[in-house]
Amino acid sequence: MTKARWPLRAWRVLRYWRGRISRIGLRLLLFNVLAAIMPVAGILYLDVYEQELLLAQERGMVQQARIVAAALATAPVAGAALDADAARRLLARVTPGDARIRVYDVNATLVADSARLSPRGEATPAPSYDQVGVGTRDEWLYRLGSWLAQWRRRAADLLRPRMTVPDGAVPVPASGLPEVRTALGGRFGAATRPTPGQRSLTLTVALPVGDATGVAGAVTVSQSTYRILQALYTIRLRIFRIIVATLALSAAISGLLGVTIVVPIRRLRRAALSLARGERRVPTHFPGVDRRDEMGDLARALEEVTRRLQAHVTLLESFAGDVAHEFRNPLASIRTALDVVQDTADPLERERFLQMARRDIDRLDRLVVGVRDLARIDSAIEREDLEWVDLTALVSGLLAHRHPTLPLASTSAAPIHVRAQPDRLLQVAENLVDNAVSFSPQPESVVVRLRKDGDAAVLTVEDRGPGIPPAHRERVFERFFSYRPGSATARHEHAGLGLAIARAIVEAYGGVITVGDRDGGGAKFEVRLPLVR
Amino acid sequence: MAEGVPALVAVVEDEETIREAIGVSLRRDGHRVELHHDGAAAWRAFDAALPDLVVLDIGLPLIDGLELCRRLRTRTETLPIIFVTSREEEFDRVLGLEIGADDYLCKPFSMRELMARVKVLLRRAAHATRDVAGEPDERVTVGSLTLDGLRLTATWRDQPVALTVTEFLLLQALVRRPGIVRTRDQLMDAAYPDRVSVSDRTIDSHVKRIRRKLTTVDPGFDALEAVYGAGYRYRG
Repeated sequence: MTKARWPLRAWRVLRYWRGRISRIGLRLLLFNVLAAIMPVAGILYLDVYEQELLLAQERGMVQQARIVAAALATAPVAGAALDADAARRLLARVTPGDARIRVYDVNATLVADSARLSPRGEATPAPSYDQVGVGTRDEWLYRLGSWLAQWRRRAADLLRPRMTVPDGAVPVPASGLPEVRTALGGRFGAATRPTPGQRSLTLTVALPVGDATGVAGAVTVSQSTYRILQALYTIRLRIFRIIVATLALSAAISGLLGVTIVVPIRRLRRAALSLARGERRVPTHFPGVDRRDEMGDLARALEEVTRRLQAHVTLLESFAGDVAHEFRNPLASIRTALDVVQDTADPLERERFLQMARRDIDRLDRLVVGVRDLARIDSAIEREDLEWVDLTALVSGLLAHRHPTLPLASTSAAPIHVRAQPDRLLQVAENLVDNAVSFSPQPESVVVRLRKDGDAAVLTVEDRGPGIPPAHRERVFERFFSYRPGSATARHEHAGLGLAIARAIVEAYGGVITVGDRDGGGAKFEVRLPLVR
Repeated sequence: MAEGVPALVAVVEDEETIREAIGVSLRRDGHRVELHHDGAAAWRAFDAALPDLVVLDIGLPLIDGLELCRRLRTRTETLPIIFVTSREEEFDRVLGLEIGADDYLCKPFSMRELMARVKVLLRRAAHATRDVAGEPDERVTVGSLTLDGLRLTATWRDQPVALTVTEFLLLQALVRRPGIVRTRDQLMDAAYPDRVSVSDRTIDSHVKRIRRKLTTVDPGFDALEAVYGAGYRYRG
C-alpha cells in the first residue's frame, strides 16, 4: 500500500514546493549553483594530475636505478659475481633522498641497502601518515570536504566489491621479491605496495645489473607517494575553498536577484489582483513606479493601463448618459404627440400629430444607427486593414456622385496618398460636405479643397452658413452636440453625430480635425492627415 | 389678468412636436397660446408683452431656458414659470439653482399633468392678487405650519415659505396625516397624479429641498423626517 502511494506523495510534495518557491527565483538559484559547481570539474582534473605525478616519480626512480646499475656494471668483469663491497660503497656515496636503493645478487639476496648505509648509519624513515600534510588536513574546511567525500565514497563502495588491501609489511618470499626476480631475469620489474602503517603507497622499480653477456644482480629503487599525496591534499583544499566561496557568492547573488526582481514582481501581482478583484479603485497606484529599472517600467505601464481603463469607463458612462438623453427627446415628442391624438376629435389634427410622431420615430432610428456607428468605430478601425488611399480620387469621386455641382479645388491633380481605409475616409468627407451643404443657403457656395502641406494632406470644406462661434468650436465635434441656430427643423434630421464620427475616424488615423472661420462668413472645416511619401 | 379673459401661456421649446402638442392642448383648455422655438425669439416677444405663464425647455438654442428664466425674474417676481427638461441630472441641478421656477417636469411628461400644473399655477397667481370671498377654505394647520390649498402657499410661524407646486403637493400629502409614514410611491401619486416617468430619487431631492427651505426660515425645523426603508413622515 505505502509503496504504491509514494510516487503520489512525492508528486504532491513537488507541487507544493513549486507553488511555494518562486519559479524565477528557483531558476536563478539553479543557474548560480551550476556556475558554482564548475570547480568540481577541477577535482576530476586532480585524478589526471595524480597520474602525471606518479608517472614522473616512476621515471625519476627508473633513472636513478639505471645510474646505479650502470655504475655497478662497470666494476665487475662480465659474467663475474656482483662485488658486494663495491655496491655498498657506491650506495653509501649516493646522496640519500626519499628513495631507497637496494642491490641484490643473482640469488636475489640483498647485498646493499641505501637506508642502512647512510652516513648516519640509519635508514631515513619515511614520514608517517599522521605527519603528511598535517597542517592541510587539520583545517576545518578540509575536514568538511573529506567528510563529504567519505559519504560519496561510502555510497560508491556499496556498488563495488570490497577490496582487501594487505596492510603492514609484506613478507618476503624465499625466492625473493617478484620484481627482483623479474629484474634478475633481465627485464624491468615494478611493484606497488602500501607503505607499512601509512596511507601512502610505496612504488618500487627493479632493473638488472650487468651487460649483454649476463645478469650479475638487480637494483631496486623504492619511494613512497607521500609527496604526491601532500600535493593533492593542498590542491584539494584549494579547490574546495573555491567551491565553498563560489557557493556562498551564488547564494548571495540569488538572494539579491530575488529581492530586486521577484519581490517587486510579487508586489505588482498583488496590486493587479486586488484591482481585478475590485478591492482597489481605478486608476490604481502600483508599487515601484518610481524605480528607474524595468520593474519601474512595468509598474508605469500597468498604471497607464488602468488610467486608460478609467478613461474608457468614464467615456462609457458619459456616452450612456448622452444616449439616454438623446433618446428621451424624441420619446417625449412621440408621447406628447400621442397624448394629443388621443384627446382630439379633429381628424386633421390627429393626422398632423401622427405625422410628427412618425418623423420622431425616424429620428430615433437614425439615432440608433449613429450611436451604433460611433460606439463601434474605434474597435472597428483597429481591425481594418490600412491601404494607400488617393485622397484626390476619393474626394472627387464623392463630389461627382453626391454633389455634382461642387467642384474640387485642388492645387494639383497629382495623387495625395494617405494610409487609411477608403470607406472610412469617404465617411469623413461625406459628413463634412453634407454638413456644409445643409448649413449653406446656396449649396454652390460650398468649397472643397485638397492640398499638401509639409508632410500632411489637408482637406478643407468651407460653407457660407452662419459660422461657428469660438466658444462652440471644440464642442461641435462632441457627440450629440448640434449647433443649428434658428433652424429648429434641421435638428430633427441631424442627430449631432456626423462630426463626432468624423473626428473619431481622423484621430484613429493620426490626423487632426479643426474648425475655423471662412473669409467672408461661414465655417471652414480642416482635416489634416499624415502624408505617405 | 382681467376677469374672463383667457390666460396667455407662452411655450418655449425647440422640439417641434412637443411645442405644437403643448400648444394644441393649451388651446383646448381655453388658454391663449404663443409658441417660440428658441430663447432669443421668446425674449423678443416677452420684451413687448409678458405672458401670464411660461412653459420653458432648458436646452434651447441661442438663449437657454435657465438664462431666459433669470432674465424674466429681473422683470417680474410673480410670473409663473414651469420648466420641462429631458435630463434627470439636469433636473437636480436646476432645482439646486433656485432660479425661481414655480415647477419642473421631467420629459417625457404626461400632457394632462402639464395641463393640471398650468391650471394650478394660474389659479395661484390669480388668488395671490385678490381675496376671493365665498370660495371654500382649504387651509390646513399642523403645529406651526399652515398650508393654503387654494393659493398653494405655505407659512411657518406666519413666515411665508416659497414652494414649487410639486413641493407643495408633497408637503400637503405629508401634513394631511401627521405622524404617519407615507411611502415614496404614495408621495409620487400625490405630487404627480398622472405620472409618466419619475424616479424615486426625484422624491428624495424634492423632500430635501422642502426641508432646506423650511430650515432657512427656521433653523430649528426638524418635523420632516426620513424613515429608512419606508418613506417620509411629518411629525405634528
